[in-house]
Amino acid sequence: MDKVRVVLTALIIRLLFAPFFAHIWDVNTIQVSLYYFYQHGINIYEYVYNVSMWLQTSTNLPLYYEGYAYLPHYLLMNVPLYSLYLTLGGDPLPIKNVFDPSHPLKVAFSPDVHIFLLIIKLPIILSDAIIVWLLYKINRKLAWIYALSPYSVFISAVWGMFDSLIALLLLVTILLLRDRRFFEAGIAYSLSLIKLYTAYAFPVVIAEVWRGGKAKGFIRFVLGALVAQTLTIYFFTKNPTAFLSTTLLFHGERSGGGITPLNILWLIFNIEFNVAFSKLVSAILVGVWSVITLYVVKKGVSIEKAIAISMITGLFLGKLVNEQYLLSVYPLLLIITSETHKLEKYPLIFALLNSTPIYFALPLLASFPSYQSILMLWHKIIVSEEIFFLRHVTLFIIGTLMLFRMVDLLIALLSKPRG
Amino acid sequence: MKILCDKESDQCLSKLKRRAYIAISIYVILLSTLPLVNDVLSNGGWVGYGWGAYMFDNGVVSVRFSDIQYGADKPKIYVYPKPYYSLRPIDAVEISDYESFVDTLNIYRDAENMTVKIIDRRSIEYAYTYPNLTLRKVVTVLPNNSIVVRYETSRDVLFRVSIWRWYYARVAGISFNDTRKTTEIMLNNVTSIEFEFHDKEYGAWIGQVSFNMPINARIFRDDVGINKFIVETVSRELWFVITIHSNTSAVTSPVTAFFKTLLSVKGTRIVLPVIAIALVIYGWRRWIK
Repeated sequence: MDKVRVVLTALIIRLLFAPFFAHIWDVNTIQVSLYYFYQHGINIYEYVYNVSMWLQTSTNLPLYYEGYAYLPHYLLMNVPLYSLYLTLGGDPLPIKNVFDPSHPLKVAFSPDVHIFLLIIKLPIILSDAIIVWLLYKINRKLAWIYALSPYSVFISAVWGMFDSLIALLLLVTILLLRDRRFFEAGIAYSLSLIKLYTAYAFPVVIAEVWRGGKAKGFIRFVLGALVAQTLTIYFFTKNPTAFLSTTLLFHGERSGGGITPLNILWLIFNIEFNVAFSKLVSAILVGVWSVITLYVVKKGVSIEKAIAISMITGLFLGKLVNEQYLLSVYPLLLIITSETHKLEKYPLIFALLNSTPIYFALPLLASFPSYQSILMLWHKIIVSEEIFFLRHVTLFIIGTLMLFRMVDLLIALLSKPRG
Repeated sequence: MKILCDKESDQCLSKLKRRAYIAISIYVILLSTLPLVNDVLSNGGWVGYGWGAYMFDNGVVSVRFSDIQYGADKPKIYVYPKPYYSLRPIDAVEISDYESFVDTLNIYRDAENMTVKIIDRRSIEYAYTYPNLTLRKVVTVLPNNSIVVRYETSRDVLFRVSIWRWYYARVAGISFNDTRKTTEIMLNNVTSIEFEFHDKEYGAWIGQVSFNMPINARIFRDDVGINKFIVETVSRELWFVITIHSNTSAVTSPVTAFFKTLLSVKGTRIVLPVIAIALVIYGWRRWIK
């Protein structure tokens, strides 16, 4: 009964927030991708690639359009939901005027936006509920922590980002590996690559497969992984250049920032300098991650801890640390360390300062008659130099504290590899 | 911990922690100096930093095709008060493509295609394509800190270029009071136009726009003051030089100017290294001790 209560609590809290809030740019990315793919049959990777090429040609700068840069599964998973939304008579593009970086000034919504947001966030919210259910099997307290976690609610139900799905797939991978079900584990891990950052866990997962299943297990795992990537292979063969540019090159070439002291690059008005420096940081990261991952593999660290260590190293010492990244390892960290919930304040405060609460609440505010006045006032505030100064100094402080905190956690995990 | 230590022990863990924090601390302090390093490297040259966002800054004059965060359609000209101890430049004038036309075409909105290119350290080129017409706009900052804006088209057109400010004190000797009876005043066949404006911190400023040919101009106002003048001429080429300088003898104290403008983009260059050192000390006390 308690299990049902905690799962329902997680669901209800998230469903209450979902229709009224969104990270407009990110949800628009999904909206536009679904619209072009489902309504017009356009290869979404070609679309993003073409916009990036246009940007680079017209500006002569190493700029990429920040569109759909994930593997195709998430898009395809949303197709039935989008189809349902259209069947209900929804506006195909309920979020309007989101194209260039100054979109917060121009963004408008059709009245259908709330239904759209609710429907489009269902897989993410469902992932949260399944995580809660799985955590309950391990420890009742952990399930309640996750269900009520403001950070998890924020990323999934408010922002609309699908990192809880990745967290779920990583969790499922671990459970399947423990049960020696290598084919299914291959499918689960392979699907987690929708967001390619889970590639940081690849060596430790493979090592675990080899340790547990030897050659036979390895073949099963690879087969499972390949089956899950059939769609990726299909999109890749349709236009390899567009696919690789959008899913790989974009991540490699983009400038650093986020919850890291490297967000200082946001204060440097020189994209070429920023990209060059970000690449240098990435090169150093690859070295550090390789050494730590090798150590973890050699030590035979437990799989959940090994994944957590390799993911934390790759995600939080790297050039770009987005607010949602922590969620991908959050359930794992809950299992491993009691300190986890103390971490969530950093990304939460960072997101609210960086994007501002108004930005997330735009779908809700749009129904107010004073919406345009709110937009203008908000814009006036955020472009003032004083606010710009205060915001960016605070973001640098949070980024640095987060780095210290993650290094501390990493050392704690590494110091007791078998614990 | 065999990578960095010989054995797993508290002493070894403590040593590893110290090493990691020293590396991270050096990294954070180095990062905090990056904006200053970039300012020195890109001083006096155009740099791009986003969608349509470009900037030239040499500590005397700053020209931006952008607000702080978003790319836009302008060259917006800022000037630093002498003797340049202010961290924040004064907003002077902007030449808005949104409000300028070639024939009946809005320069920005009606363009089918637009490309931007930094053509040399001091010059940036905007190329617009319209049906049966191309327009090239080059903005150059001269060594004497005057700004040249040059328009070239593929055929003769009627240029109507808006030069904005909220607000001018005078344009061509005409004040807001002189415009009370009409919403616009016409200037015919002039080769230069002088304007004046006041900054509440740094007093009176004078600017001059000198044209390559005689032009007509219309001066406009709103309820508060004179807010733009529109330059008009028929040609294949229009260019003008804008020079702005202070016209006040009142000098704000360097200390006052510095602290009044500390909460600014340039202020972060000074504040962040201090904050980085403070954070490193805090991190050390919080997590190492």
